Amino acid sequence: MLRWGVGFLAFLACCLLGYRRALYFQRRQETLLGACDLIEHLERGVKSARVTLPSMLAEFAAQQHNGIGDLCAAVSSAWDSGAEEPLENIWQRETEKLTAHGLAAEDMQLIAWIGTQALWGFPGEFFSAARRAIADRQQAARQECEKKGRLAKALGALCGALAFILVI
Amino acid sequence: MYTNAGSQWLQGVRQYLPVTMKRALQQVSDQILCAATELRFGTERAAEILCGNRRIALTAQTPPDAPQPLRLTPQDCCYFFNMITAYSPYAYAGMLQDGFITLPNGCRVGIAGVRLNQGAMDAQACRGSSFSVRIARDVPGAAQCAFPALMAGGQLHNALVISPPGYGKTTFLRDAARRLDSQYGLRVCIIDERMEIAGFYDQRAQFDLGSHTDVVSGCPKTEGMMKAVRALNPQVIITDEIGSAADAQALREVSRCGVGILASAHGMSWKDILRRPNIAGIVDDGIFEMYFVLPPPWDMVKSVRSGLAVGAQERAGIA
Repeated sequence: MLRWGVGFLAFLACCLLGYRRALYFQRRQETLLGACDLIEHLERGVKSARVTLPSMLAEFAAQQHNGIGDLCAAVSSAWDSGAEEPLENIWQRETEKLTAHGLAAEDMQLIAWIGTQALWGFPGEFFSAARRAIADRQQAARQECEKKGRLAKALGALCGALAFILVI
Repeated sequence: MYTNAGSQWLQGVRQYLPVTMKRALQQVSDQILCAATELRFGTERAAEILCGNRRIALTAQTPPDAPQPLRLTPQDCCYFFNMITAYSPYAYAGMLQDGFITLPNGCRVGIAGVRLNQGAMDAQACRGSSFSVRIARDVPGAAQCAFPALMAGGQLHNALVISPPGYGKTTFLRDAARRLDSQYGLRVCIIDERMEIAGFYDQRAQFDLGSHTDVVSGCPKTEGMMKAVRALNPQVIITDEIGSAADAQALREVSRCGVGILASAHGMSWKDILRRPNIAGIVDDGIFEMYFVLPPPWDMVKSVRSGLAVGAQERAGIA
């Protein structure tokens, strides 16, 4: 009876691990969606030409509680505290922390580029280029989430079944 | 209210400067900072402080026996630009097109460099540019010597203040506005196209211009003058740096409305003014009753002592 119980627990643990891994891919999608929202938020602010970029970032951070929101909060609070370091550097540094949100290296490069360009005054056709690039990354993330997410769940279940068999 | 007396101007400017510049300014004596009229720097050029006609080079932090002139990097210039625009050049597009930004303490930063489409600038375009921070100071009494002539007979005479850039025309107009409002009780309206007289920032003037003075800021002079006459019921209109045909036409209209005019124009002397066709035209029309040619500010102390700080010259006397 004890074996059955332990085996069932091992099965559950493996399934949970697989599910967690699948959620990790989903978080990447959510973070990229946050980046997409940020682009729209910035575009609205630039069109109104009344709000400064640090204020826009603070507003966005208050609305969004995800990786991008945290990034914006860090940069806007650095501005508010009168940091002597250029905000581009702070943005780059904070972007590296987004690995915890499931982002791939290419995603982080893109987010770093978005921040730098925004802090340099949105040169050229920034918004359309950024939107296109984000859409590409979202597409890649969606595909990865579907493939790897499903695979992670299946592997989790398989490992769970194996563990169950081994235990009993 | 900021007065920028002494070296106070630096407190309002320091926060925008790159670290190298802050360190270099720490080495500058308070005496120089108090006399400073301008701070000039740019990419790969020696940074300097102007004190009237004196140029004082800022030195980089090097061993004391071999001081090197401070030269800013493109990144430093980019940083300064980002700081003065709060990383938001789009929000300052109007001022940037005119080539300047007004800081919260009223100091004006002139920006050189390559312009993008429609005269706009961004941080990248600024990497190879140079800056001139003109230190705005409130100098109570700057126009005092002119008032006996300006208000002769108990009424305001239309006047034109003439001097090259940096001689104190704007400071003169600022003090004149304050006096006309507070001492003579006139309804004064300032047309401050380049936001220099009032140093408008965050919806308020940064200098004391009298408690009842109206300020029309950031609006073209021509439009601002006509709007003020129609809407604000002024007795005196004060405006800076006239020169275009449209300015001349607007001044003619204002003078026909029975409103007093106190204006300024660039020029070293009376002859320079007559060589500018638009201003010569309004001079011929007799719009101004008197002209003040300002001496260099670095001669001001000497001139004040001899009672010649501002030479009130009636046109009849000059012609």
